[in-house]
Amino acid sequence: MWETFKRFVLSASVVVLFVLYAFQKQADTDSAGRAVARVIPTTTIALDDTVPGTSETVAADKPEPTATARVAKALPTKTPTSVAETTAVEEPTSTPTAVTTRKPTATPKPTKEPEPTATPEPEGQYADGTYEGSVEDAHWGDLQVVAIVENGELVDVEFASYPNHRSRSVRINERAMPLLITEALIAQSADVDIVSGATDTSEAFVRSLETALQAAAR
Amino acid sequence: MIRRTWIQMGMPVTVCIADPSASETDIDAIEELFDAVDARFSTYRPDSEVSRLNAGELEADQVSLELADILAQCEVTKITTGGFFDIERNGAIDPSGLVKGWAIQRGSALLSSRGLRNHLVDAGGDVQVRGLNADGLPWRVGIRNPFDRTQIIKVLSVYDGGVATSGTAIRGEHIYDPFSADSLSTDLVSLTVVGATVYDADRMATAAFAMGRDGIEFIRRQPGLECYAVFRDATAQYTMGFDDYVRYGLRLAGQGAGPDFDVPPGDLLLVRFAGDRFGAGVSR
Repeated sequence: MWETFKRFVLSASVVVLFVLYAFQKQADTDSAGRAVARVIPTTTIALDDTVPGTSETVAADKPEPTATARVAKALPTKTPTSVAETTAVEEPTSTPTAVTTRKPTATPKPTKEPEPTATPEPEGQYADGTYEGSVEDAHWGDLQVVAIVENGELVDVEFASYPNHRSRSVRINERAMPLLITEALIAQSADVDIVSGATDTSEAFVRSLETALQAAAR
Repeated sequence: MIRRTWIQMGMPVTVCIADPSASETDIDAIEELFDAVDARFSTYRPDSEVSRLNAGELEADQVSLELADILAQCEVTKITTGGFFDIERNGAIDPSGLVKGWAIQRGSALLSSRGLRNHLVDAGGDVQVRGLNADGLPWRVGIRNPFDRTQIIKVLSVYDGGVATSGTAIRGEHIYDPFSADSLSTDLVSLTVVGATVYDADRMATAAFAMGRDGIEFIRRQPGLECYAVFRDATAQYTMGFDDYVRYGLRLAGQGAGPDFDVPPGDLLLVRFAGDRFGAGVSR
């Protein structure tokens, strides 16, 4: 009876502690004040991996460009005020429309984008355009969303930065260290006790060696 | 020191024993052991248990305990290597990629059980060494140049370890892989794996070679295993730990860099041997 009670108290306290922790984590974020958009650091990683024009590779076997280089090349910084410019980006996942411009997933621009065309602003809760939220700390990395408003309504939310690049950053870090060394073959001294090489099980080889050993036997 | 080379299990076998108490009967015991292994596992003998299983003369539930054990180990290895170690080939099984290292290891254990602490057992280019050679130094294991059988491209100094090499056989300019229809599918020509046991080195080298270039990274990530890979263009790539085995030998020969400090006699030292093995001793 007492054992059951002890167990219950222990489990309950764990649950309570966790709830308190969760509240405290949330409080920390709020205590920073209202979120304010700020300049995006250059290490923001674009999620769209298919932007053409990026051709840099770090390692010979796998194309994993570093985060900073990727931003520099992959993300255009021109203002999307015209449809023509948007098509020049050749974003493969979206089609440009006359009303709004569909920007690539991240741009180092802290301010709002204005209505790009001359059509009258439709009635709605929001003004049309693409809006970036602030960069927030999501524990494993930065999180930033981009809200896209069309016809006064929120139609899409994209991620400008997503905190799940931990594995990728680990891989990038690993490649920075010389874990494998490359060299040309160099003949060494033959003063060894034994030689390791690929098994030569061809019958001809074995037969030949057998006769040689027979000749060598005393 | 006693040394003998003969043909068994379809490959050249060499046994060296540096212990003064060694005798020819010890090597005879190895020969008997390999005879039993061959009788059960050889795919070249139609009367072996493996051949009979492949021919359908034996059911899967009728195999001996030893063969069942080996098949289980092959299955474990297949899982560990993500399927790249696969003994099934053309509808039949060929466990030689694991049996060879296993047999050599058993031979080494047999000698150790007889009190012979310093020996070398090699079969078909895969070797298990223990202790020191006749010169009182760790065994010197050379890696054969896959492009020139008469040349050695690396010399390792191994104290307690296994070395296994997987590769394609080369005849002149024609590179062929006896196990694959697509003979030029990989530019990896030879892969040598070094570890604490030739059992692990052999089966992992077999699997890693099938992975091609990715095999090097696979070996690198295995704790306790190092590798040296030779490519078709006569370049090689090796892991950081592999270099330890090379530099260890150079250091012993007085050609490598030793510690930069003088160790006064009587100090208790922690020594790191090649291959991440440690020992403690008192300096003299």
